[in-house]
Amino acid sequence: MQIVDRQAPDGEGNRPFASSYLYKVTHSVLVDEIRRVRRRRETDLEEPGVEPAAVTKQDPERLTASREIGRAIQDCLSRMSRERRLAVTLHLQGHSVPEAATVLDWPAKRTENLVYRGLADLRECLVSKGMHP
Amino acid sequence: VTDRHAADDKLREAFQGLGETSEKQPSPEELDRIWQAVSGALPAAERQELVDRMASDPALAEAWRVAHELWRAAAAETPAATRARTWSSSTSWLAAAAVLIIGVAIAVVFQRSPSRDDTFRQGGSYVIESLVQPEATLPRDAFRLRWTPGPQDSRYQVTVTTEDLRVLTTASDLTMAELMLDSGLLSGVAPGARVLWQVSATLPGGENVGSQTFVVRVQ
Repeated sequence: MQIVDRQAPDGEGNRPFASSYLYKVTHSVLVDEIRRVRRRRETDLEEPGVEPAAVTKQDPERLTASREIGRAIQDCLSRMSRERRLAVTLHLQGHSVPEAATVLDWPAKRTENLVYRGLADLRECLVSKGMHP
Repeated sequence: VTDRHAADDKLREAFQGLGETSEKQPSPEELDRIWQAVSGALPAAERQELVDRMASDPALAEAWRVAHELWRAAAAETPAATRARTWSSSTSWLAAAAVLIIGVAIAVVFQRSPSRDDTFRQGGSYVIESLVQPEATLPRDAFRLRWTPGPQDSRYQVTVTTEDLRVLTTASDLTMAELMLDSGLLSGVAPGARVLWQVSATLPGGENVGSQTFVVRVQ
């Protein structure tokens, strides 16, 4: 909060750093940091006798199965109608219906319908591949 | 209904897990566009185009999730009235929120805590305050950050960055309410430069408390 207070004398209230530069940098730092930690984790696991910095809680078998399903989902999404794909992608990304509706600039009801129908398509497609997630 | 939710969670986990294996690194331009999309600055058609690409690009999807988490955390710190006008116009407040939450956001993304939405909840009356004077200049060989301790058995995570948000270190699972930085971590920081630091605490009951961002200088 000290930062906000110090940068506020221009009379425009709560205006910290005058651009979205910082915001973008924050995002970039986070994405880089995720990649860096992941690389470090992989390196740690490759070195015998080294205690890994972080270890996934999932067992390898489940992880492999999950990745297989993930790739199947990608394939199923590519076969879906574009509108359903957009709605389902945001659903899979963890967006609520109102959030997805805002991003896609669609009415909430329509978005909800597309998520519902898209998920039905997705499940059907996965079942056709012999998967029952 | 519960089965459906569980199946949905499994699908999400599988889809999002693809980011773990992706070798691709989103370009700065892509990251910039994702920010614009998440903050509402990008036209709807271009937002849709980005979402469409996410369906087949796990790295892009992961970068979007980071942006979205950051947005959510920032929104949780911002009054609703301000939030309402932000999607259509100003994004300046987000810059401040981004600084305030960087450490917590890292924790949210890395630890994938089961209670993500609790990150900013205050644990009763416990507020994390710095025990280092604001803007104090600390010697490189005794760069000790201290803060008010929480209840016994609390655990702390600290993120320390430069003013341009380069992460110097992230320490987690600390049992003491202090962090001594190795002078080597500060080797790239100019004398007199500001260093930002932020603490998040996990209390014995599982509650998470985030601090504001504190500022000190390097001697």
